[in-house]
Amino acid sequence: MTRYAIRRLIGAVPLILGIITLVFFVLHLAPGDPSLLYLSRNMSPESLEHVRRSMGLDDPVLIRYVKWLTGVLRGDFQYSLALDRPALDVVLELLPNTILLTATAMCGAFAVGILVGVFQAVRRRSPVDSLLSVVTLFFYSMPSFWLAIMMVLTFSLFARNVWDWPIWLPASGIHSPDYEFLTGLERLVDTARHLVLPATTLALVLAAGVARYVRSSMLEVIQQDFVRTARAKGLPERTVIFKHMLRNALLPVITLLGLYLPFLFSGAVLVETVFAWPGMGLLVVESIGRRDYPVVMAASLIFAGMVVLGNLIADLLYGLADPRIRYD
Amino acid sequence: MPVAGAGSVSRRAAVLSAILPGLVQILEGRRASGGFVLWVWVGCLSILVLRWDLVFDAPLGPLDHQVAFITLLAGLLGAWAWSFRNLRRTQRSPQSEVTGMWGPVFQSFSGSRLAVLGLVTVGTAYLVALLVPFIAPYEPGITAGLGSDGLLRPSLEHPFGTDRLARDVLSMVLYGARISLSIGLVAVAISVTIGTVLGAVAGYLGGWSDGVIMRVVDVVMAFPRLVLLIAVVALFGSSLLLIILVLGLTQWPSTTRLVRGEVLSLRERDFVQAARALGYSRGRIIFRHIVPNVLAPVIVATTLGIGDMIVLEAGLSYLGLGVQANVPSWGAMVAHGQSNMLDAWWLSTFAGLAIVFTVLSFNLVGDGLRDALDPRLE
Repeated sequence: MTRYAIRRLIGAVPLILGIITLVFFVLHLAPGDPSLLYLSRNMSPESLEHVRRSMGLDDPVLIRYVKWLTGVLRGDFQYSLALDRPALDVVLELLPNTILLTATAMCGAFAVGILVGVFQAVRRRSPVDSLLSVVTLFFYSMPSFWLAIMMVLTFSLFARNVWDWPIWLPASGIHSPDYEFLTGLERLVDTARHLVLPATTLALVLAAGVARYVRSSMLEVIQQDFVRTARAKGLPERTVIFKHMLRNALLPVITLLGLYLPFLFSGAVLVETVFAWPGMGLLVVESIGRRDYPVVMAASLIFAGMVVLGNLIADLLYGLADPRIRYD
Repeated sequence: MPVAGAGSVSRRAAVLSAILPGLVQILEGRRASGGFVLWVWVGCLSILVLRWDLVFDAPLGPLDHQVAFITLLAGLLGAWAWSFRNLRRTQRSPQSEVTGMWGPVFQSFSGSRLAVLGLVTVGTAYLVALLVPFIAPYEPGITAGLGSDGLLRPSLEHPFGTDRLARDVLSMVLYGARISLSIGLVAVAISVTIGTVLGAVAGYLGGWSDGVIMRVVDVVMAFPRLVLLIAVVALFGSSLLLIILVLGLTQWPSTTRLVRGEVLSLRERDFVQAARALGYSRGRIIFRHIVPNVLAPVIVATTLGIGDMIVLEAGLSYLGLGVQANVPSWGAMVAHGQSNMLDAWWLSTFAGLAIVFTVLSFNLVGDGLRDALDPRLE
C-alpha cells in the first residue's frame, strides 16, 4: 500500500504541474500591469522601469514561468506584491483557518448526509422520503453565499437586534475583538462560536448532495441477495441496515469524499467572503483583485496539493473499507 | 369526451379548444401538457388584456419589447395550434400511443408529479424572461416614484419591497431572470457539445487521444473551479460573452468523463461492429452511431448542468464579477442586499429565492429525466 501511495503521489506531479501552469498563464496573460497598482503615478519612467525589473515583470511570460517554477522547486515562492512578505508564508498562515472550516463542514456534512440518506432509503416511497427528497434538493439547489447571508440575517442580526434571542452567533471573523484578553478555554469557545455559522452553511449545502448520493447508493444495495439472506437468518433490522447495507453503500460515498474537495474549496471561497473568515479563499479573492500574482500562485499550488492528497486518502480508505480491492 | 364521428372533430371539443386550449386535454386526463398549455394561454391572454397599452406600442418599441410581443403572439397561437392538432390526432386514434424511444420516457416522466412541476416552472421562467417588459410592474432601473423613499417594506404596491434607490425589487428580480437563464442555457450548450464530442472521441479511439483528453479532464476537475473563474473574469473583464465562454469551457470535463464511460461499453456492441464491418469512417461511426446512444445521460447532465451554471454565475455576480448591465443579476442583488441587511432583509432574500427556485426546478426536471431514462433505478 505504501508503494501504491508513492506511485500515486508521483503520478500526481504532472496533474499539479498542469493546474498551476493553467493558473499561471491565465494570470500572466491578462491585460494590465500589476506594478501600476502599487506605485505612485508621479514616479519617473526610469525608476518605474527599475521597479518593474526588480519585480520580474519585465521578462517575457515564458521566462517568468520558468523562473517561477525553478524558484518553487527551491522553495522560493517570491514575495507578495501587496504585503511585501514571502507569498508562501502569507498562504500558510491562513491555511489552518481554511482547514478548520472545511474539515468541520466536511465531517458535519457526511454525518448528516449519511443519516438522512439511510433514513430515506429505509423508508423509501413513504411521505417522509418524498418530503426529505424535496428538502435535500432544496438545499442542493441553494447558492452557498445566499444561505450564508440568510444565516447571518437570522442567527446573528435578527436574533440579536430584533428578536432578542438569548443566544446569537457572531456574523464575521474568527475571533472577537477582545480575544487577546481571554483565557485558554474562553478562546476555544470564542472560536467555536465564530465557526458555527460558516461551517453549518458549508455543511448544509454539502450534506444535501451526500444525502442524495447515499440514498441512491443504499437503494441499489437494498435489492441485493445478501440483504435478503441477512434478514432471512433473523438478524435484527438495525444490524441489517448498518452492518450489511450501509457498509456496502458507503463504498462509492468514499470516492465522493475525494471528488467533493474542489467543490468544497469553491464553496469555501464564497462562504469565507460572506463571513470575512480569514482563510485561503478570502485571500485568493482579495489577491486576484489586487493582482498579487505570487500569492495567488502559492495558494493555487496548495489547493491543488490538497485536492490530490484528499483523492489519495479517499482511494486508500476505499482499500481499507473494501478488502476486495488490492493495490499493486 | 364523446367522439362525434370518425375523422371529424366534435363541435363541443372544438369550441372548447378555441376558448380555452388545453382544457379538453385536461379533461381527457392529460393534466400535465394540457395544464401547461392552458396556463400559457391564460397568462398570455391576461397580459394582452391587462397591459394592452404596452403590447400595442411594442412593435415599434425597443428590441426587448419586440421580442416580448413576438413571444406573446407565439404563445397565444401556439396554444391554439397545439390544442387543435392534438384534438385531431386523438380523434383519429383515441388510444395514446407509447412508441419509439421517447414514448415510454415521456410516460414515465409525466408520472412524476414533481418533475412535471419542475418542467412547468422552467417553461414559465423562460416565458417570463422573454415577456418581462409586459409583466414587470415597473420599468427596470427606474425609481418607483419621485418623492418616495427607498427601502420600503414589501407591500401590495411593491410585493418584494424597494431598494435604496426606490427601485421595485419584484421588477428587478423579474428582469434579472434574463441574465441567469440565458447564461445558463448557452454555457451548458457549449460545455455539453464539447464534452460529448471529446468524450466520444476519447472513448472510441482510445490510445494517445484518450490519454491526452483524460489528462486535461483530470487537471480541470481537480482545481476549485470558482477560483479559476474568478481569476479569468476579474482579470480579463466581465463581458457577457466572456462569462458564458468561461463557464462553458470549464464545465465540459464532467460530461466528457460520463460520455467516455458510456462509449467504452458501446464500442464493443454488435451494431458498432457492424458499422465498422461496413467500412464506415470513424467520424460517421462516432457521430451517427455512438453519440445518439449516449444522448440519454447527456440530456440529464445538461439539465442538471444548467442549475450549476446559474449558481456559479450568481456566485460570480455576488463577488462583483457578473455582467455589468443596467439591471443587476440575481447574485449582484443578493450582494447589494447584504450591505443593507438589517434595514432591508427583503433585498437579498427574494433575489436568492429566485435563484433557489429556478435551480430547484431544473434539478427536479433533471431528476425526473434520469428516473425516466434509466430503468435500472428504482
